[in-house]
Amino acid sequence: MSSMPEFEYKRPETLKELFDLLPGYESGAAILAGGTDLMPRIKRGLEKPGLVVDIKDIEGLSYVEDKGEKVKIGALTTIFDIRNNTLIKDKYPALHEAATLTASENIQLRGSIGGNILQNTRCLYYNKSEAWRDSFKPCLKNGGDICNAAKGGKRCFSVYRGDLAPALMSLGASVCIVSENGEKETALEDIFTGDGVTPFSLSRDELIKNVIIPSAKMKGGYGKFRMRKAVDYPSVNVAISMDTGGKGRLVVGSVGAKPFMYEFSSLEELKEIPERAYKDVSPINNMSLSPYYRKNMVRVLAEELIRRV
Amino acid sequence: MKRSVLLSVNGERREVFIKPNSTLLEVLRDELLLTGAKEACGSGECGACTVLVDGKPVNSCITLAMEAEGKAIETIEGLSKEGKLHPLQEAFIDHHAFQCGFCTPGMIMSAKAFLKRSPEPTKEEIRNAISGNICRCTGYENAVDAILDTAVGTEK
Repeated sequence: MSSMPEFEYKRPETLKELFDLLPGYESGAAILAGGTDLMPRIKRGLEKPGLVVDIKDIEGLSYVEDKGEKVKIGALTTIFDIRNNTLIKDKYPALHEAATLTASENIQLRGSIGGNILQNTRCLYYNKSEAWRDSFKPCLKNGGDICNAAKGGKRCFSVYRGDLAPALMSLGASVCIVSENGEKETALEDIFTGDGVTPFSLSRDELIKNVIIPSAKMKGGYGKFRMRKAVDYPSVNVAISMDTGGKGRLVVGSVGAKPFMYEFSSLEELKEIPERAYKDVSPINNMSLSPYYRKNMVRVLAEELIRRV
Repeated sequence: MKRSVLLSVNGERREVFIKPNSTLLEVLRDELLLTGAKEACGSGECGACTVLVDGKPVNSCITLAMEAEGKAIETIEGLSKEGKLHPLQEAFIDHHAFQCGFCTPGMIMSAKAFLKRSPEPTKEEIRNAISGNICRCTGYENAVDAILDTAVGTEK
């Protein structure tokens, strides 16, 4: 007796085999890499795929390569490998720190960068067992037309709580998206829709193939505010990266369906961002910590991180 | 639909007849009666279900049994050889590194994989390595000492 709804399982060895499999199942296929986000979703009935396609056997998707002007990271590269990569540690401290603070070491060994970027949004009233959810009317993210977290809410306020994406966005990263029709490169921030129901613009037959970061030695860091010291999603996270000329980005995550991104071209401009971010964000009551506390922590965490880097 | 799957568990080939939605933990416990790995959170947060697949720790409650087909699965039951406990098991006993014991199989499996990749760890590295194994009796300190002792031999 399984705790999961029934589905078929396939393990293709090439991208071509993968793309041959997907259309037969339309929206019912789910792509499985480390499974640390997908499997709990399936177990809780938040995802009901007819087919689970395990892509871990597809060759050539796990690497960190210095390509001169760009550094490319394969989608299946584990968070653990990113954390321990000396090139990343040297050039991209924000990404190194974000990987180090993700979940636990065992989950870092399992989770991939592609999967971590595409981690689904979360809400206190949504990421629950089916029995628990049954005591409420279905919410917008669960096929209904109401929001259980914000009474009277007309849109979904579920929160994107990924660790790596804010760090990657601070570095100006883009992603190579591959489908049967070929490849396209998109700025990472552009794959976020801002809508909690469908947080990503990727369709079901598309896959992140790799992440591309401009090659430059960056200063920066990553700050993560969480309830538990390990195995916890950020309640607020902030990433900063800047080049030697003092230009860069500050990114605030876990306060909306997508990360908030701020660009700066001097230290003076950077120092003004925490106050701006504090005013911009309006978290709602959909996490264990109160919205008021989280809003204040945006400014605290950003100011702390600026002082540190 | 059920299908026949060949798994390699603790060095033995085992054939199971399972549905693709079976987790590795369900197959280990319910089909193979290897009940060392435990189910607690069921969502990959607590680590009580940790087993090794090709030497790497996985939360078997969120891993499909089919993902482990063709790979070497190692559970706590496979650690003792010819009636002799593994050094980690001995060290956990010597240090009283468990209270209720529910998290212990997962913690020892995480530690085994960790000592293989970091044979000379610091206490801080050990704490990081078992950060995915939650102990509700909060007996972490003794577990850390037991793992450290195993790493450095039997020095006290």
